[in-house]
Amino acid sequence: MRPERAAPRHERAPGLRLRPVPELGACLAYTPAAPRLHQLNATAWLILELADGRDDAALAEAFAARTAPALPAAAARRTLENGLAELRSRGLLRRPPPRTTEEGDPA
Amino acid sequence: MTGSTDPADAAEALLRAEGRVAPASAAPLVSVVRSGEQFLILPPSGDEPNLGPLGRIVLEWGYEVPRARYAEFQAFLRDSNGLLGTSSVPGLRYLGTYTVFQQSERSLGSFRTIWDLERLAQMEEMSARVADAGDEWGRAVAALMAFRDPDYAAGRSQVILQLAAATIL
Repeated sequence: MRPERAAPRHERAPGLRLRPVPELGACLAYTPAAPRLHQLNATAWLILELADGRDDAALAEAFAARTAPALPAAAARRTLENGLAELRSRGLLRRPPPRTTEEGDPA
Repeated sequence: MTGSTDPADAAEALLRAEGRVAPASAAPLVSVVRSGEQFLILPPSGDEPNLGPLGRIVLEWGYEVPRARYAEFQAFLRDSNGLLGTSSVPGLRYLGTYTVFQQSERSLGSFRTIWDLERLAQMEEMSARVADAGDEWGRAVAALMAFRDPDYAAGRSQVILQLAAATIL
């Protein structure tokens, strides 16, 4: 049987630490592997919190639910896509190597 | 903010408090220590004489407010001045919110909110009150913060001052 590709998803940078600073309307993110500190706005913080291992479709659904009704569905999709690209470019999120559903199965 | 322990709930609450969903931004931070390595922040000794009209520590937030919200911001300040002055953190006082008449550095923001406090730990207590949806003063502070322009390019600053006479120089 041909192995199926797992649904695409994002994962956080290894060891990523988040420290909310609500009085600044922000969250600080620290990536120990490439020692850097970033200041996230609330939107970026929400995306990172939702990128908890769920696949991209579930992530989009959760983001849309949490930003409605301020963002209509199409705008939520665009905001999420741009946000994911921003967080990837900063090294806070990454796409794990493609897996197949047979990986990890006993031979 | 709510008392929820789910960080996604906290992020969503912050987003809703801001009143709009801004594009996601993740700005690299470069820490600039202005004085921490030179002037130690000390706890009050207890028998310290009163050395000035303000507290030992003065906290100043600098920020911009979106121009379209100026009128709403002013109305909020007029309506909430009394409430903001009834801090639920003992020893922490709201000293007012000012517009900047003149400054040499634009990036610091056009508004200042000034607090005074006795010890740095009161900043943490303040955060806890802001995160507590049941704290009326905390909600007022959160509402004040929600006026700040969240755009990363907007002016934003924070200054912490300590009375020189109470500092090891």
